[in-house]
Amino acid sequence: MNQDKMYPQYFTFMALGLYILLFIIPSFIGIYYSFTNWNRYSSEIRFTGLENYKAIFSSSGNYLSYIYNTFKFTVISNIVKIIPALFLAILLSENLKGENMHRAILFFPAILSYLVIGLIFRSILHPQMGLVNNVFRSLGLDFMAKSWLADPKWVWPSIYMVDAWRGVGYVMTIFIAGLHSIPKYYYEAADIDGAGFLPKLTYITIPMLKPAITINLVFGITYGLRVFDIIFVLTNGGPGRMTEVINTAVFKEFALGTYGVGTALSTILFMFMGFISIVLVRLMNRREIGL
Amino acid sequence: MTINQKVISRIIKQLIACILSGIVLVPFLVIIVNSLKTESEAALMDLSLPKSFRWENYSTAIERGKLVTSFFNSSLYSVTATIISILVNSMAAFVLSRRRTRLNQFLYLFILLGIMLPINYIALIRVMQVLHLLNTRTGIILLYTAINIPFGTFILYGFVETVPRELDEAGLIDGASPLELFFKIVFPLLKPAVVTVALLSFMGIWNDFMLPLYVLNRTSHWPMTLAVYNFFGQYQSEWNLIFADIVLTCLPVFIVYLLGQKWIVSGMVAGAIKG
Amino acid sequence: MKRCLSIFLIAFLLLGLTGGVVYPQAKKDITITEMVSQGWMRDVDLELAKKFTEETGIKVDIQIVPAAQHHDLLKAKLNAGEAPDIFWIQTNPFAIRTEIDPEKNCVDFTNEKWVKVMNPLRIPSVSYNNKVYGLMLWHNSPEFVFFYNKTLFKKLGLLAPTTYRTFINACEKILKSGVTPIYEFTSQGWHQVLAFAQIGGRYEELHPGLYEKLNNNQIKFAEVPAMLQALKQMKEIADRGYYGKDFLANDGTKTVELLATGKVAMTLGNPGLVKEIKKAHPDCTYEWGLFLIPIIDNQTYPFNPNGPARFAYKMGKNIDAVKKYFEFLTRKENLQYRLDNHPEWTNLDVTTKIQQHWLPMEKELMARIPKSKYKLVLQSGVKYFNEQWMEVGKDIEAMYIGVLTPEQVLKNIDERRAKMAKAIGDPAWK
Repeated sequence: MNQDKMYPQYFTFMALGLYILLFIIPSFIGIYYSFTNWNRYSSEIRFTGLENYKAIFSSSGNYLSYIYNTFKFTVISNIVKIIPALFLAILLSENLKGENMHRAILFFPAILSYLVIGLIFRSILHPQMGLVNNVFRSLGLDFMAKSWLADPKWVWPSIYMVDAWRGVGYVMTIFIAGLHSIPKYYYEAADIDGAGFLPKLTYITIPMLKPAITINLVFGITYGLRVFDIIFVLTNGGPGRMTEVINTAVFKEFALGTYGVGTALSTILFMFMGFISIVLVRLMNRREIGL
Repeated sequence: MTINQKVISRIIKQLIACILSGIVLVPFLVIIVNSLKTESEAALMDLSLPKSFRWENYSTAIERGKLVTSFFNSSLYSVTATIISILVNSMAAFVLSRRRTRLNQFLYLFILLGIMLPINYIALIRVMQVLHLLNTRTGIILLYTAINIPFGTFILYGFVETVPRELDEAGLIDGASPLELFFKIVFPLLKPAVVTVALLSFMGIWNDFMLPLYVLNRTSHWPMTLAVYNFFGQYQSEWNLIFADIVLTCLPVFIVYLLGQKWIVSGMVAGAIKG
Repeated sequence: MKRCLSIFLIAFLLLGLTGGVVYPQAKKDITITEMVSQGWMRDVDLELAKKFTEETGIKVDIQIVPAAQHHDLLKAKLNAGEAPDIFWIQTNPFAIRTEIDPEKNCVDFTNEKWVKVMNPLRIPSVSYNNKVYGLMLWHNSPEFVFFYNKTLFKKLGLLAPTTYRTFINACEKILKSGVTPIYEFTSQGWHQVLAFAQIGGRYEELHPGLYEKLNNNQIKFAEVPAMLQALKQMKEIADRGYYGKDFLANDGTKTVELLATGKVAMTLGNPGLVKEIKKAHPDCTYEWGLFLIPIIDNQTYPFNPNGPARFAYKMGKNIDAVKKYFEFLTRKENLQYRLDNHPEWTNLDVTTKIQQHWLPMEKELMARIPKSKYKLVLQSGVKYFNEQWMEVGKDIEAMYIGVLTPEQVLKNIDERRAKMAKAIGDPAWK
């Protein structure tokens, strides 16, 4: 069949081989552990069925607030990143002078380890001695000098801001790749028809960016549901437990040595993310009718 | 638009880009400025200029952090794993996207699963032991490749659709073998996506410090990311060296990204469709 | 073309693969690996390792790992039979069996000559079943007592407080003079627990036999009035503004700066701060002192025999080399070298007669407090507390914010203890 001559199945073998051997197998073993009493204290592992899961859902209500925080973070952080990233990508794809430099700078925060980000931003956002508030005070805008990471009203917005600072460049990079896959003549045709910025955006750019949008959504959603490092390092779930999310709770369980429960939380999260992502991807991948 | 309007709009766009870049750069300025201070000055982490520029912080960081060896390790792992990744992922994404049999649709979702799978380090060590890959450079390279498969295949799968199928048919008629068809015709047209995936993979691997902790038991095999822990004390740390180390660790990725962006060239399909 | 490509690909893969095997390995040199958590080793330790190599030709591959990963990493490696030749842990006699299972994993050093270099009071922390498995070379400075600005106190006519009342009065006077009394930081998660845990000896004083009862599950934290009172006093200190505004945003990095510039009067810390202050502000003329945490009128000296210590992997291939290394580290001249070049320490807790550099303030404090008042701190005397340190920290932070009551903080501690006890199958928790 022609398909075999053009798209031979063996093209997929290397990827599948490596993936199954070094990724699937270890992870599934890990998931198996969530059904056991595996913990720091004993080296024998007993199969305990759904005990760990029951523990999660019945124990002192806190978990629900972690789950709520996780969802809230996922939705808001994505809005805050994806929309600006799209406009930035467009801005930086028009052959502006120094375009590559701008792209690199905006992407740069993604390179930093989260530890460093935590150090720097906790310092910058310090209410008394931090840079941000000092700038506000020197401009006479004293009322703007908030306790960014410790005031319940401002802690989440601060987290979103830092997360956006770090993540917009990454999202933008993917959009840039997407923009460069759109054939120029579409825009040329639209220009001839006298179309302005908004119609071009809505009728050409966004539809043709479907792959890039899917990618950013899937990454963004899985990142949001799985978020750990940025929150851990900025607030550690605080003040109190106000910014605690699922994975900071998992980390806590691991610290206490009850690995089984920790892995169970991870597994629930994984199944949930899997479900959402699959639905999303199938929706987006319904074959587009040829243009 | 008149010429004037165009010029003004370009200036405004340039201004916006510069302002945004500037804002993004502020934290980096903190890092750079503080990397040239004394230890106690650096602990304040503010934007004041150093009393004297301590360039020797960099040589100290390099020496104590053994940054030369680890630089080579980081490069080896990132470059090799990225190259293998690109080849392996693009081939798989191509076939999975073009040939959507039930099997392939399942395989695609199976690979996608990996984006959410949590890594279990203990199980990982065991598996690597069995495969005799533990504590080897080959092992970690293959591991990085494996871990990047979901991510890379996912991105490339989406972009394969932007390359028209007609080209494949044309190639077949011209008598190309599958490998020729893929590498000579399709692959070049995937360049923006391929370069992007390469950059993101490279960065992800370069920055990782978790896997080396678990699967490499010699510091001579460690990448740059772990060196920074040499400079932390129990109560007070050598912040100036920490910052110098960070600058040195981030610089290569920044340069690679900068260069890589030049490779993303658009509007290539124009000729092919008409012809 | 196709052939070119395939050859190229194969060549590359081969290169990559052989790299893993053929890459320069240490030839006939012996290398021992040593894994330690960030912060426990300083540059002077790395220098000592180099000296060791110069003398014996044995290389020491020191692996400094992030603190957050250290514990799990070690556990994973021990589990997999892949542990380094030497590994460090924070000792905890209650948990040593579950942490590293010394009988299975560690080399028995009981008969080594250098064991007697350690302070006898610390030997139980590195032992199990009467056998010595570890080497602890740590300092014995009064840790986590109040480090205060004597000059400022004198100016305000204040003496080092010994009761809670005089402490509060002192803080009030300091606050009124425009200085933040206490530098506290909660965002790191661990500092805020110290005030509660370091006065463990006081709880034991007020409730004799408390530690044992807690360990046998005969009493709960929530049922100990002294503990509740301590938490309430801590909350009072916060509410009165003695930690300053926005202390929840502090993370400890500004300690030296704020003390040296007289913006804060005291902090829970170590005498080593004197060295740090001198280095950062050589022209700072303040005089410094120490006093015991006066919460619930505590005057017990926080004694903590635990600390980071080295253990050796039984299944390692270079045990003789490790023994040589330990012997080297415990030689008098090397102990002296270490102390002399350590950026923070003023003394080394060893029986060997080396020249210590005790600060006058340390000697003065230790002379003032009778040996009978040296009491074990809470985290070293009570099971299942140290492991939940960070969680307790979160709860105390929540208490400061007003989200949790002191009663709830204690209740949570008990719940977590029960969880851990049950997970390990502790017979005292049914």
